[in-house]
Amino acid sequence: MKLKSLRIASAGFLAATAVAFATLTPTATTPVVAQEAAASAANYEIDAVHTSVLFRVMHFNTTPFYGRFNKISGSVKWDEANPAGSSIDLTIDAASVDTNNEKRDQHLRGADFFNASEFPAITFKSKSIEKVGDVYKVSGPISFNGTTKDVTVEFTKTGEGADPWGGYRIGGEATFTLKRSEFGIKYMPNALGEDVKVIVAIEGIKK
Amino acid sequence: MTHILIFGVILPLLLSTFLVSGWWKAWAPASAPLPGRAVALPLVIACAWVVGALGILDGIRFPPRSAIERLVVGGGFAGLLVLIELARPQAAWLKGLVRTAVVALLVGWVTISRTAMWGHAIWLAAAVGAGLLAALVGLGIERFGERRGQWPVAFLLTGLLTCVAAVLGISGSAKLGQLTGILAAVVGPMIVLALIRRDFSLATSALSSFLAIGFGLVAAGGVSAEVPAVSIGLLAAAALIPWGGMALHAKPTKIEVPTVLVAAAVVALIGVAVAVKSSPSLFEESADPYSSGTGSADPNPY
Repeated sequence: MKLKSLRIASAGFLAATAVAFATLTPTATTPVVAQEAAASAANYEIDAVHTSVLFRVMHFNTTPFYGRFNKISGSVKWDEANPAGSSIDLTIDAASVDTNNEKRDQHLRGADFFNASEFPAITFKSKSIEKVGDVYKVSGPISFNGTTKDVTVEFTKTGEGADPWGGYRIGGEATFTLKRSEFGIKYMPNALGEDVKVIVAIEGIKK
Repeated sequence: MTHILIFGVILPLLLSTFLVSGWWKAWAPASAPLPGRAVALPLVIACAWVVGALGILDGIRFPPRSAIERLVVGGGFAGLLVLIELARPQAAWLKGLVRTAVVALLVGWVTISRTAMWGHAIWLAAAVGAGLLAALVGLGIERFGERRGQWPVAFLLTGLLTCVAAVLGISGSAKLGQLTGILAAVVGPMIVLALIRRDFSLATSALSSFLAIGFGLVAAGGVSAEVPAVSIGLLAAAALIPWGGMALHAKPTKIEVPTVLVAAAVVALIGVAVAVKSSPSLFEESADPYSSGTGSADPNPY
């Protein structure tokens, strides 16, 4: 009798757990909500914790070296049906550069590189977004170290869907290359590559 | 490294030597006493420094956008402005006024990006304060040179420059450290000239540009590198130590010169030590970004 009660209780607990997980799992609701989102424009706030900005530069023409920025903010307006009505606005705190070495980070924050105290924000504001095949061509000015230049990057939408907390998220990624001397960063030309590959992966939470 | 040696040392040194020699020939033939017009040598310092700086920086953006770029352009103009001293080379008041005004203008321009953070009143007060301090430092060094000759002044200037270069380099700007090194390379031929010709006063002739560019370099460091304020204060205190030598005025050279030089070196080196202590270790890992909060819209980082 006791064993039967225990089995019933265990089954009940497992069933309750399964129901709880089902309600938390995004796949259960994603298709429906995704269709709703695709139908109309929506505004998203950049989720700083799940957004990454990485940079890659050759060291002594030998090894690709990676660094990142830890503080990113901004917003995305996304209109699947009308990409031209979409926009991406990003602000990166230049002083949050992180290469896992505090002394090097201090040097990168200084005037030899990002000059973060004089130019604290690295910004990108899209002017136009155009869908070409499976990707989006996002054009706009990028500003850092006191120089602003227009760039066009290929942005790939990587996904969207509901999160377990009732919110709705959208994500995308862009990889592009900048020439650092064009932004006034000419220090150590023999030690560090001229081309800096930038990887931006953004996640937005619907407002 | 070769680039730094060529543009940071050899080129400014040669240019300074060439210009000083040319100036020597044109204005001060060996038979004639060196005129007060030698005060125009600050222009030589400024020109040679600007050429060396442009080489080290591989050119600058124009109009200048950063503190260092403003310093390079402003350093050249400072060399021109101090020529106002030519009007009355022997007038100490004019020299003081020119030095105050030129350093205030240069420091103000270099730090102009700080107006948003400090406010206009503090920015203006800092610039004028730097100008007054420069005039005070200049007068102290001049008097020291008059009392005890030129070689102690040469030692003092070289030692101070070395410490300024070290502080700037340690605080995150190797470029500013190198630009300070250029100033030392440019001043070098003046020191030689001062040593071989007794009527040439290094303190009088070369000091105005030296002060303007030196103060400009420290100001640029304050704006664009992480230079501790205590280090800047100690370097300024070291530069003022020749005034302390006045207390030893009646004593023989044997006492005043070593006392001033050692005291200045100790105070400046404490400034360097403070910069070393404030700067992160070469082997220190960056702080965990999750430990200080990142301002995420999402409370759960996972």
